[in-house]
Amino acid sequence: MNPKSEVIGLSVPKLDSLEKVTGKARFGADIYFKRMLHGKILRSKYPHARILNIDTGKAERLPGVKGIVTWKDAPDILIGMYQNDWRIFAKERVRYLGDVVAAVAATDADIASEALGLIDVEYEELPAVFDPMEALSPESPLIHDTFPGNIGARRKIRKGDPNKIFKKAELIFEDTFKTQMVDHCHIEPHAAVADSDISGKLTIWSCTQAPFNNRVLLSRALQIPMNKIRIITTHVGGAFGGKQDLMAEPACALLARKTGRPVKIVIDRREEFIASTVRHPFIMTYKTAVNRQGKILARQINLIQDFGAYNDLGEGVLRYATLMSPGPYRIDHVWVDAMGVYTNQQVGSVMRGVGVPQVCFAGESQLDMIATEIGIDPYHIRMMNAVKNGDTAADGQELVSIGYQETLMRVREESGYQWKSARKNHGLGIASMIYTCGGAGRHDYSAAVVKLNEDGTVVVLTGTPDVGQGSRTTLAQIAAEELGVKYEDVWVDQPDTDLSPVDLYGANATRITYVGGNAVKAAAADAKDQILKRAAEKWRMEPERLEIVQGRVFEKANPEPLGNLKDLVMEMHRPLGLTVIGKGSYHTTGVPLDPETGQSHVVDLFLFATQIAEVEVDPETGLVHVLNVWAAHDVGRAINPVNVEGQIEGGIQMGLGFALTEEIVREKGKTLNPSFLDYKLFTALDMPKINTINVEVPEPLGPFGARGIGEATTIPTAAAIANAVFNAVGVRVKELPMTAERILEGIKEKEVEKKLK
Amino acid sequence: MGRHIQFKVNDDSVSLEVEPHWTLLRLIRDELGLIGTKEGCGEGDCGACTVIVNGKAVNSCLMLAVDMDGKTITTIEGLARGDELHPLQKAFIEKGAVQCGFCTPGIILVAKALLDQNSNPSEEEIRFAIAGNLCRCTGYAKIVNAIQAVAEKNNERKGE
Repeated sequence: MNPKSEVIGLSVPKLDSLEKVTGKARFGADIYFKRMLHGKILRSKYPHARILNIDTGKAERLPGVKGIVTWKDAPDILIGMYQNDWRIFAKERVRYLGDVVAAVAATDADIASEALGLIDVEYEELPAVFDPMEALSPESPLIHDTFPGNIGARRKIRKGDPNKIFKKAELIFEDTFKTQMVDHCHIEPHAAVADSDISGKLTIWSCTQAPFNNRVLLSRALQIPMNKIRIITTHVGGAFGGKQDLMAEPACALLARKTGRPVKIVIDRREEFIASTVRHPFIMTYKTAVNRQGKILARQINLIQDFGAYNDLGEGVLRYATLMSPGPYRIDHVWVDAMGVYTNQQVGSVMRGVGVPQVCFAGESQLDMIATEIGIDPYHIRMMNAVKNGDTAADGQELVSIGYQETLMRVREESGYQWKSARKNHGLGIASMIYTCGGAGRHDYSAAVVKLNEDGTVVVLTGTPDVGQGSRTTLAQIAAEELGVKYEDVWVDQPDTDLSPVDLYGANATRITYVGGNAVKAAAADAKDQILKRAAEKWRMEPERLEIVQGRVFEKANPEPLGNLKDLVMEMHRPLGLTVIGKGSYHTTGVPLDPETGQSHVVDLFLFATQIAEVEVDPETGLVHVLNVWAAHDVGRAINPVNVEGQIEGGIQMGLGFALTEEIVREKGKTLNPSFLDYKLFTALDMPKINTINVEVPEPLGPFGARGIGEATTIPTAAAIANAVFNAVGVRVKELPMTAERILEGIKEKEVEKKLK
Repeated sequence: MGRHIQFKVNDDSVSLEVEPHWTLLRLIRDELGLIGTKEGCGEGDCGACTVIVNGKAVNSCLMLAVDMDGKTITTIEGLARGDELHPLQKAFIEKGAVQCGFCTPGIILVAKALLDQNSNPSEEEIRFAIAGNLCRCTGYAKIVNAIQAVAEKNNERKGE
């Protein structure tokens, strides 16, 4: 099936792991300069208030303080990724506790912290609203004057006519599900260092996952052209969507400009939990009609998303949630009404899965409730309704070369799945998901440059950052394969906006292998063409008859090499002066959803996966012990199988936290558990055995048949756990996280019901 | 008011003045420039700042620099001998145990301290040892594999 390949499909060691195991890798906070100042950020004291005055006089007089900035130091402009509703420094109003009011640069971080306490901000507190349902009521305070009813965005899907079906359907189910606020919890906090030269040129070192997005926003926020902003991406200590937004950069930039010295800002962990972006809480109502055999006839879905104080990427999350909410099923009648609602809560943004872990939990939980009610195996209800090649997704686009049913079959086989466990308080749960690669409904593109050094080694320039997922390695493998060189001879560095070609979204949307990979493949092919043209002249034969394999030039089908690539390339450099620089780009063909119907060709390709979880529930305490998770993901072709496994293992860990333990607990907009002590991630001791299954149905559009994987890995886990918990103890939890308290409450309710019977 | 202390870091003897409120983490990163030791939380919950002091793995964000007088400290920079990586470093690369790499130095040092004490730990013992080190990328599976692989090799060597 797979064409012969030298590098694709091999689990080569990661290109950057040597630096990382020796402590040499420089992350955001690891940039040091002489005379560097340390910055700290003052955030709002209230979840909603008017700022009457900011007095920095006392703080300025503190010895060691070198500069303080507020909105007065920034252009008077609103910015945002979807809506211009946000300022890098709050001016007249603060809308949540994370809003930035001022920033201080001092010779020492402790002095900067002390100075924050000396800044006198006069507020007039305003009524605040923390619940999206309340925010929709006409009596609620308006968070943005330009968004009546606090409605930040709406999305719709109109495919068929569910109401017609509901009128005559045999069975109708209607259930509401809720998910919680969750933090990305990259172990490396946000950090940036900025320096400004006399001409006003800013250089910013940042552990960002989207340097070009950051440049667009900074350029607008600071009203300076892009050639005056250089963002150098450091190593990134995890991102998961959390390092897509500007966090330390604007304050760093303004302080550097004001003081004329390099300024470093490292966000501390408490600040991360209070002010960084989060996964949006959702309220999801699913109304589903089925026949007695379990065939899904119609689904009507209502989604309410808590935006928090600003839109940021919330609207993108709403689009993804809307598109993916019906699940990977063939349903002719689907209506979705989705709304993003402003509240005075922490701002939501993309987080691994972009709204889909939420809707997957709802849709897949309800599907199991339906299966239970009509007495059909949850595996079979999925197989029966699964989309196949030629079916259409919720946006009406045709599905091509998909491996969804294979993921179901493989995961069932490997896990030894049985619907009903013979063991007490023990159960297996199944859940599937649909996702996509590349920015959905938005133009998405990436470009790459492949440069040949004089000795035949290769440097790839890409705008896509590696955030730990191993994308630099994947791109190096793609370049090596396409060009015909050894993996060890290729180097891919982190992006630098002055040097790397433009890339639209960075490490987002599970897009690097697909969009970035295709760009690198095209650039490598361009470089190869240039080399083969010269080789054809040298050996007097048509370029089509030549090939490069592992650094040697061959006449096709002749096992004796004509020569070494390095000699050929050296000769091209000197004496011929033909420097080999290949360039390539790739763009997706997705078009925006039609606002009224949601019908269009929104994405290039879809991803499918199925996971099965095995749990034991302690009936005395309600505690869930997860024993195993099996995960079958259709990756098209695994470019680096070990990296794919690593993505799945990590995604499941995040999914387990979402399912069982993680929640930012808030009271009146204030985080009550801003530490890893009280916000519980799964540790090495808590983890179940994870069994990964790579399904490989080649993707016609993907580089060497590959699809992306990163975000998909976390999407079905919570639903699989919820379904396993039900199968173990008969308790259906419709709200995440499924804490022991919630499960125990369900167990007790069941006992009472039993007694009443 | 600074205080003068003397200690050993990796192979170097160091003698310098420290402020009484400095943490060991600050001393290592800001004063000694050993940036391989990371700060993930600053309050002892994540383990990213782990170093070995007198043979014990500790959170350097919770220790004071002044207490280092006379101590021996090993940071991630002290593991390789020239170009020769420590077996744990090699295993982390080979097994794919490194993703973002931010928690990696801390976990490698915890694993080293464990293996120095107990050359043949069970999987449970390995998991227990690294339970104070949070990783958000890997699900720990390949990290545990890498540590197990080193333990197995150590024991094979002993058996020879």
